[in-house]
Amino acid sequence: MNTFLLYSLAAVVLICLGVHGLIFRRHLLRKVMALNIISGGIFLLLISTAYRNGTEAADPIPQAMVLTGIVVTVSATAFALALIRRIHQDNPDADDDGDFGDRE
Amino acid sequence: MSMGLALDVLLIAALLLTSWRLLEASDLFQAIVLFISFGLFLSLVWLRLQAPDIALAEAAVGAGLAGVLLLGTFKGLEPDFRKKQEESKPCRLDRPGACPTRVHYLAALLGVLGLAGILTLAVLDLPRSANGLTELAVRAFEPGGIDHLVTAVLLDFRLYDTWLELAVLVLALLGVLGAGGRHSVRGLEPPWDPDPVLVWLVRLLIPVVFSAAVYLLLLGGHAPGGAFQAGVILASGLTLLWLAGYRSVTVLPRGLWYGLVICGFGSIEVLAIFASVHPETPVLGYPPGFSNPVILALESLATLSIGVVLATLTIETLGGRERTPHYSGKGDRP
Repeated sequence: MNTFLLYSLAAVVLICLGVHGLIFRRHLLRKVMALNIISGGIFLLLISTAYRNGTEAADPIPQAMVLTGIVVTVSATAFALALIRRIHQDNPDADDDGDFGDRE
Repeated sequence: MSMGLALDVLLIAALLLTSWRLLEASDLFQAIVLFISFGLFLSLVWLRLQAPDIALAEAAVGAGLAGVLLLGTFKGLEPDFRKKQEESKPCRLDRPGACPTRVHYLAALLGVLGLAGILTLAVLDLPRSANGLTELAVRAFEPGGIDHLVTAVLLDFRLYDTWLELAVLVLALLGVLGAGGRHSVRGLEPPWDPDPVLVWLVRLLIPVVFSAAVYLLLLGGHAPGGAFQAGVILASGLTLLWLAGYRSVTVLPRGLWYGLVICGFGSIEVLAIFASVHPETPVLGYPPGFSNPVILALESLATLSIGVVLATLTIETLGGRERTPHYSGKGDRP
């Protein structure tokens, strides 16, 4: 089994774990972490495809895309966390199980 | 070969195990710590797959900065988080719509399994060995210029991506400040009094941090490194300075702060305008003969922008509690 296949399949499992967590976990912080796991899986898929030709130099284009993607992911995470803080601030006594926002 | 395979299996097992545990652990704080270790394992994987640029960025951004942001938010949300565990509350029966039933979970599970099947088929369908676009990139490469391929792709062939990425950073900053109800972080104090050990450590580390940022920036032309990694290190240095009570982005005059936030995006925009009035330069291309100094200038400005924006995001997250009416000094000091 070659390295590319091993890491690509691990990426598939990561993406599915992330989607599962995004749907099944109710706390908003946990959903943000699940989104980050999905993006980690997608990056892993891209980088393992870049590595397909083995020990020679890896394809630089997916690497540059992932480098851009990491910064975009952390920006999106920061924004999502700011929204969570705001939701919590506007509903200080809401439950922590994810239904902050839907109070009258 | 077998050593390599053993390493691969170990790394993948660690990666999958931490991600599974961080989604399942009942303690949210534990989940965040696992998230940070997930980022570190991921950066080991990048090293294994010969992507040291990404390993640097992942260790700094994915594990470091995202972890700090999550921990800061967590502390703000649940100052007394130990008193109850997540998801132990029963679903409220007066609102049937909010209560997912077993059928919903089953449907979602089937969807996830379907996704797994499709993605696996797609991966198995890919050719096992291919060079991708490597040869194209090597051929388009100008000798004598930048000789690190990833930097060349970021700043030469795909400058458009880099440009829009800087725009995304500015947008995220606007969104975060807007959601926090603030115009800037000017004058924000650290959420706790600086610890003398931290002050000592920061005085020791700051020269190292800033010289590492400059070194990575200059290294980007011919080895792993570049504007993103340098910007992230700059951001962590600025945040540390702020935490230790020194001058940081919070004392910048507003005009200068705006200028630093926008300079990375703005400089590429100036380049685009220049290209549009000079018909012989391609779109987002460099004026012939000046590509190296222009790239270095763009990279330096992008580093400054990334550093200031990320430091501001972190400071807003950590100190954002300070002056809001609901949380004034209520239990968020350790």
